[in-house]
Amino acid sequence: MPHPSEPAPQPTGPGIVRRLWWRADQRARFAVACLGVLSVLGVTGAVGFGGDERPVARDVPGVAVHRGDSFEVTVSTVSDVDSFEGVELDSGRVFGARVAGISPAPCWKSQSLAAAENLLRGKKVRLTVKADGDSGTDRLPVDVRLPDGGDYARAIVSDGVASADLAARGELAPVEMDAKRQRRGLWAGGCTGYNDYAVPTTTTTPEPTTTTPPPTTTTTTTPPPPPPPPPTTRPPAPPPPTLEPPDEDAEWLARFVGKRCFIEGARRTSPNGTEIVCDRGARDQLRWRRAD
Amino acid sequence: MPTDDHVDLFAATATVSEPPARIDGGRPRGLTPDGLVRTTGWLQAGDHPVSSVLLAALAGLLWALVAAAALVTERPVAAGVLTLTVPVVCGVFWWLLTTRLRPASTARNVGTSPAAELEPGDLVRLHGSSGPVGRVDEVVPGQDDVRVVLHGGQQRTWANGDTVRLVDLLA
Repeated sequence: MPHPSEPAPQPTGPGIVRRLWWRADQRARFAVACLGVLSVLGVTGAVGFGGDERPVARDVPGVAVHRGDSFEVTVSTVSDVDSFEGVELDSGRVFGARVAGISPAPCWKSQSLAAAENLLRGKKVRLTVKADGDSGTDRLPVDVRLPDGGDYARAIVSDGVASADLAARGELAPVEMDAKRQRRGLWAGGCTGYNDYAVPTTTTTPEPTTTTPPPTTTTTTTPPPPPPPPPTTRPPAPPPPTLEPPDEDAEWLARFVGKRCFIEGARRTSPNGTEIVCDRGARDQLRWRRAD
Repeated sequence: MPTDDHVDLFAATATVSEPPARIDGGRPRGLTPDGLVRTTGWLQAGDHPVSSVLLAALAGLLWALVAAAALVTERPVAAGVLTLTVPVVCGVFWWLLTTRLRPASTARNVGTSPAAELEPGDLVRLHGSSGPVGRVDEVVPGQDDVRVVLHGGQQRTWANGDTVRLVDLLA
């Protein structure tokens, strides 16, 4: 025990780090603080956002799935009304899914995407695979069961957000008819002409007409062809304006070109004869492109 | 020195060392047993010290926004709660720390003074422009340096050319 006359021991001073901090210029302190905060934010962001990509990168070989398989995923990204990506929570597998039975409208894009995001994004949904495929390659055709037990395609078609793809799910025909009758969503007039001309399942290839002579036959100064046509006194009648809308082909092309497809080399022909082909693009994704 | 019956004009002068005081005369919150005052805050905008509670809340908010952005897809409610609560929790925690657990005063740097020109009663930073504050009791000029005796008995030695920060204690 120290003698009372001895001076009290000096308390230990602050550590070197604290003294450096106190002695630093205010700007240096501010910079250090900002750096610290940014580091913490960076680590948090890396942990938070890196977690989504960790389970399965798109480069990882996919897992085979078969028709009829059913599993739950949490929807992470909605790309269109009929396509989204989801992560299977248990395994971490990422699935790109295309909803069977939905045919997106060329117009009504933003509305349909908003409706799809509202129904799907962040939700845990049950997928039922409609065809054999691979989780890592392309979008699997699926039926989607919403968290409330409802069918996603039925809800979308019923609200008039998109048309039904009756080739994939014929049972949606009455649902779509009902939406049309009630003039819901795109059937309310915001997508004029879509019903009549853009739905592939209802289009027919127009036959070229042979009753009207070509316009060149009205001239009399041209050299006579070997079998001269009979002279006519009546100018050719213009084609009826309601027979074919002028933008039918463009509308049809807008529906497909640039969209995902699933069978490389598959071809489709528009009502006007324009051909499109399923081709692998720059990002190695299958997309519809014009064949010419 | 006055006594009951006479005044001793040759007695040594008795100096009464006063502890550091706030600008309004009150006792500073961070006064420690050794006579120094613990201070909080390290940033000053002009004449206004930036509240460290505010800085803590701001840092918490930034962190919460990043965390919420990462969480919002899977747990949107948790993301919202996080954004609202983390800044408050950070601010309240820092306020409790600096007022209850390790009380500290708010100080404002008001200027600088050469160490040799300090006078008894000045409040000075002991290390640079932030950190603890002491009250000058005595200044002893030397050949090359200045020894400053602070309230509580602690001493600091500065070179003659050094400048020190003068402060006001606000809380």
